[in-house]
Amino acid sequence: MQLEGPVAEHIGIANGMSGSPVYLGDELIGALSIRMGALPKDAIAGVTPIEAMRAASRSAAVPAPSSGDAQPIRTPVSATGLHPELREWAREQLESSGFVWTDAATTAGGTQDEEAANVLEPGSPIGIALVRGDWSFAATGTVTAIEDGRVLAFGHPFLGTGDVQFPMHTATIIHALADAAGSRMLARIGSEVGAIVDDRLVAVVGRMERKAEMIPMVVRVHPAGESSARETRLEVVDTPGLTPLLVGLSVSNSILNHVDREIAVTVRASGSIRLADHPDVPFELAAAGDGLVDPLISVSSAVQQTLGMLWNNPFDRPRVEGIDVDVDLVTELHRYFVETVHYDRQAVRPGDSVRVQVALRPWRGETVHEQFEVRVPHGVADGKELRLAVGPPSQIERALGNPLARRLQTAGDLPGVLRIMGELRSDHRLVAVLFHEAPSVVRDGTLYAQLPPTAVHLLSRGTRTGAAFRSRVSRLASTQLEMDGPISGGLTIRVKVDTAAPSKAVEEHQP
Amino acid sequence: MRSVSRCVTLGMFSLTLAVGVDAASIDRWSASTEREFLLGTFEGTAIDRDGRIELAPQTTHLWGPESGIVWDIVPGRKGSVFVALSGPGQVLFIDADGAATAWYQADDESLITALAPDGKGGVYAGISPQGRILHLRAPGETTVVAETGTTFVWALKTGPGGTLWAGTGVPGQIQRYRKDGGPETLFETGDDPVRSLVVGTDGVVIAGTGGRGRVIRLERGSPFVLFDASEAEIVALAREADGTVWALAAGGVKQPSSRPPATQGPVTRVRVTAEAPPRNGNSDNDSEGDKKPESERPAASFRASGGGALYRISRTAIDTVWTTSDAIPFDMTLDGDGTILIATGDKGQVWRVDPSGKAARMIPIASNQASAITSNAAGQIFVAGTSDARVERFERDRRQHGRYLSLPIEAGTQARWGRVSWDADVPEGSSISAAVRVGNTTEPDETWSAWVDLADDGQIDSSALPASRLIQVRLKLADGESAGPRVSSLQVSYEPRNRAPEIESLTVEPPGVVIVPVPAQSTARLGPLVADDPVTRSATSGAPRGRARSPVRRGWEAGARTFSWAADDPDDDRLTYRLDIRAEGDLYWFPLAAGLTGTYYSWDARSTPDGKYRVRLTASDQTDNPSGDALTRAEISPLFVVDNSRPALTEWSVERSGAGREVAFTAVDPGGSVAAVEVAMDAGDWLPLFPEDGVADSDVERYRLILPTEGQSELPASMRVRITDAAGNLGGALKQVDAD
Repeated sequence: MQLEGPVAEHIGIANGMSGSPVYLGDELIGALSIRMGALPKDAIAGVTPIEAMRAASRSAAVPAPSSGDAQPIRTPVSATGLHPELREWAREQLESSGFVWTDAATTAGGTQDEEAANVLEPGSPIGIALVRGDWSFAATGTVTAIEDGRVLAFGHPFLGTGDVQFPMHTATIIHALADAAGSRMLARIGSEVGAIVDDRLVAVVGRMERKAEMIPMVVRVHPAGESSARETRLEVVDTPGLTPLLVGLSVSNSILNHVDREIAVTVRASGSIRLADHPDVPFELAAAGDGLVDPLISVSSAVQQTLGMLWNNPFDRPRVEGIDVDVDLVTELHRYFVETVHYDRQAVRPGDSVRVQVALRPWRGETVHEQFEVRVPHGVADGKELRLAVGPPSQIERALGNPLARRLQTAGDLPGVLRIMGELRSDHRLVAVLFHEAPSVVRDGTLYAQLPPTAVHLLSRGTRTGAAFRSRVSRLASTQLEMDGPISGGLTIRVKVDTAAPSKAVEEHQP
Repeated sequence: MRSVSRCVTLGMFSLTLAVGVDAASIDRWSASTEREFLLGTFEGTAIDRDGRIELAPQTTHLWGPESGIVWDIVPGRKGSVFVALSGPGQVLFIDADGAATAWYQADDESLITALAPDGKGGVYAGISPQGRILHLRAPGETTVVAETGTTFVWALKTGPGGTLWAGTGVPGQIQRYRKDGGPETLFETGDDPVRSLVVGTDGVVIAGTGGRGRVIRLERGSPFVLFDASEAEIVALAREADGTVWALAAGGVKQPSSRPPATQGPVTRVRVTAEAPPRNGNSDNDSEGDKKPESERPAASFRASGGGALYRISRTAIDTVWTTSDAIPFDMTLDGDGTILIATGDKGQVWRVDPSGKAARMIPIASNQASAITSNAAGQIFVAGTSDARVERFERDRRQHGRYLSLPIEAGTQARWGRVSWDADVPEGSSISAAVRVGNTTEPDETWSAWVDLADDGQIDSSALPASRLIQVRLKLADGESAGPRVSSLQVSYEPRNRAPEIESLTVEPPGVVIVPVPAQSTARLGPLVADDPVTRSATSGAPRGRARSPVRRGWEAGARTFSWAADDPDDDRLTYRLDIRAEGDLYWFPLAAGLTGTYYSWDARSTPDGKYRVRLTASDQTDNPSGDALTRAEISPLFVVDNSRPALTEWSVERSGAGREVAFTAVDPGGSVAAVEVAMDAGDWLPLFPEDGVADSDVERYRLILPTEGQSELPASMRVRITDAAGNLGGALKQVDAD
């Protein structure tokens, strides 16, 4: 279908037009939904038939196709209240997912004229709120038809996730921006009028007067030296494609509300995902950097990665009742590198405790010395050589053959995934692990250690999830302490077992 | 009992034999050893202790297949069994009819790693990695006997007075739970898990460890290492009434230990079984990249890659009764007749080993891993499999029928299938019959022919077998009145269809080149060590014959033309050659030489008219093939020239040129081309002369030279001219050059 008229000639097929009703005479035949070519000179568009949109609930829940000459008209998204330090990173993330970032304001409200025009009707813009509160984030499209309280819009999927609950808002077009790289409609979100309930291949479908449930989120920032926390409340949509990213942005944005520009920050955060019918899932993270952008993007990424395990798990989608995050914020840079590891004797006896001394080089200043004790279990064979690994959890995980990652990979159900998520620790912890060469197997989300060879053989087969991973080492003992900033690096030293060794330290042992 | 040697002859091939096929062209496939038989498929058949195919014991499928690992199986009452299944953990009670009831089901990824009957119809179960021992009296009626304080409960046994013994790891411990007392840890093996236990009525406990492969006797609380195996793991133990201990060990590299074993008896090797061929591939699930941390790099110590042994430990000696290099031993049980049944992976094989060390492979179960085996007081044998999990009961009786399928036999090319024969003991009333099918894919599939039964007289309709390069033989064994048949060898003979020789090159050597054989060395003059008859040719048929070369020497001879070639035969047939020649433009080839066996031919071409020719080389494999089957391949040479005419000098002229002379002449070679001209003045040396056009390459070349007088005392009186043509023919003249 070719669009004609001065507007069409000026802006062509603009992102945000999706869903615009197409009439043949007085009869509604469909919605504008497809653009042709990458940078078309002619305003030629494809149309999704209205019959298909009316039957949208029965169509596939799949994302829009991302290749080919004919592609869905892209959906503009815009944010208000998102700090500039995060905008560019957020833009990259979203545009790689097929959205068009616009810098128009999204918040509700406007002139009286705008409010008066703030109703949904065929051809009017429609807004989908994705984050509300301290900052807001929304997507816009166009209404195709409203039939019996059922709002048909877009003519193509938004995220394509099927049954959804997104707040449905009125919207006002502020400006139709002509752009050779892709014209787009700049819109402002109005009032909430219902809920988007279906997000499918041929349309998004809303219901007037229905209330969408969002995930309540609280971020409490505890700046160093302040007795009370600064609390930020938000609401985030619950959808696998976006929630982890939006929660991450929300945490970082809340932190930015409480720091000045261009200073060093150290962040340690602990959070909890409250689930219906399942135990809460704790998570933690740490980041530090000289400046704001890098550490806060690290925070966003870490949250996104952690929550992604839950939202992208292959078993079930639990109902998320809330997300709470507590952030300890220091406007100084605390970051450490594991420099040396000593232990207090040449050989150890089974049952003895090894005193481990660790030298940590901070970002600036004097070397920090920490020590802790690791007990060698009874029963370790005389003459055996053990290994002592010291470092943050990510390094320890690698030294042991990535058992947590492999447990997650082989977990057979959602409770298994949640249990493993709860064991993930951030790199502000300094961990010492005593391990030795004894085979272990990860299967069905469980680590089985110190196995005889035939048990390794059997455990490597007949798995429910089809995968088993083997490592040549098993953990014997571990201990840990917390630092006030993230740690990098790690060292592994050898520890000799000798039943005749003196019980007291005789000299330091260099790695 | 009859001992028969049977053969079945396929009709088409017997006809060929009747007309006198050269025996050297017949190939044979045969299988007569356990290793060779194991390449085939056993369906209701097995291999006996002497490596023969026999009818397998009757088996009854009781339960499965399900996903999961069966760690242990113990007998229950009335032909029932308890099965320790993991993934998720369950203790199943399976009655004699195969009906399964879950007596216990874990709600997590616990493993049920050991079972022991309580003697009252219930069972003890070891739960890992919690290290917990449960007592299951009935479905859902579960009590916790002990928290062992360890991770795995690898072995459970009940002893006199209802005492329960547990082998754990890690830490490795031998624990005792008496009805009237609390738990006791009687011995610790540290990080060496106690993998197996046996408890005698005399209260002696024998334990096997799972890291250092030790067999430890615990008597009145005192430990003593009976045996320190070369394998890493003692997976199962058994003890006879006279105190003899059987220890089944599985391979792997032992855990290091700085201390020597407490004692070790003399080890004698009684018998080593034949090794099965190496397996293809590895079913490991490791995802090992190039840059893995140390923890993930391949380590032999935790790869149960196959191998193990059965040891007999008596008061006086330790004997290695049976070994395997490819199977992975998991479990064993003593049969009532004094034999030991061993369950192994990765092919689900069950072995029957008698005390002398003779081992028979019983029918394999359908699971890859025969991971547990037990027997009950009635002598019934139960075998459990893993991935897929299942339970089979081995009966005392033989099957009534069974089949053995050979591997697909590859002829290498389309073949005429000949004889199917076997050697067997066929007791009264038993029988063996054969069938074949053929195809052209490596693995039999729906494109193969249907099975064709071979008639009693061995004749079948030849049209029933399409042209093919692979054949599979199926033997059907039927039980007799008192015993079943046993096949000790199976053979198939066939004649691969002949393939044509291949000529790789045909070279026309430069004119005059001859190739002559070098006289044989003195050792070769002794003659062949074997006679050149069909029998010995067949025996040496593996030796490459087509490429046999005699040493030669290259020389030069006027008028000679030589052709040399390289040819081969894909069937290694001996080749003979024929050469024909044709003048360019002629229609007919004229024979030049025939019956050649070498790969060159030198020919005196001086009697042949000058001209351009080609030769045609024809290679034939008729020496090793019947006349109707012999094939030939021909190759035509590039054009070459026969030039026997001498070149000549014409148009000689001498003219005064200042104080000197200008000499001019023409060299001609009608049959070929002038290759070189040399001149010599008076008695001087020959000097090359170049034609006016610079290159001597045509049949007429014009030459011109100035004989200067300046600096010379006098002009030469004569000049000799020598002309050589491309064929090496010489011509020339002697001329006066000082005359005006």
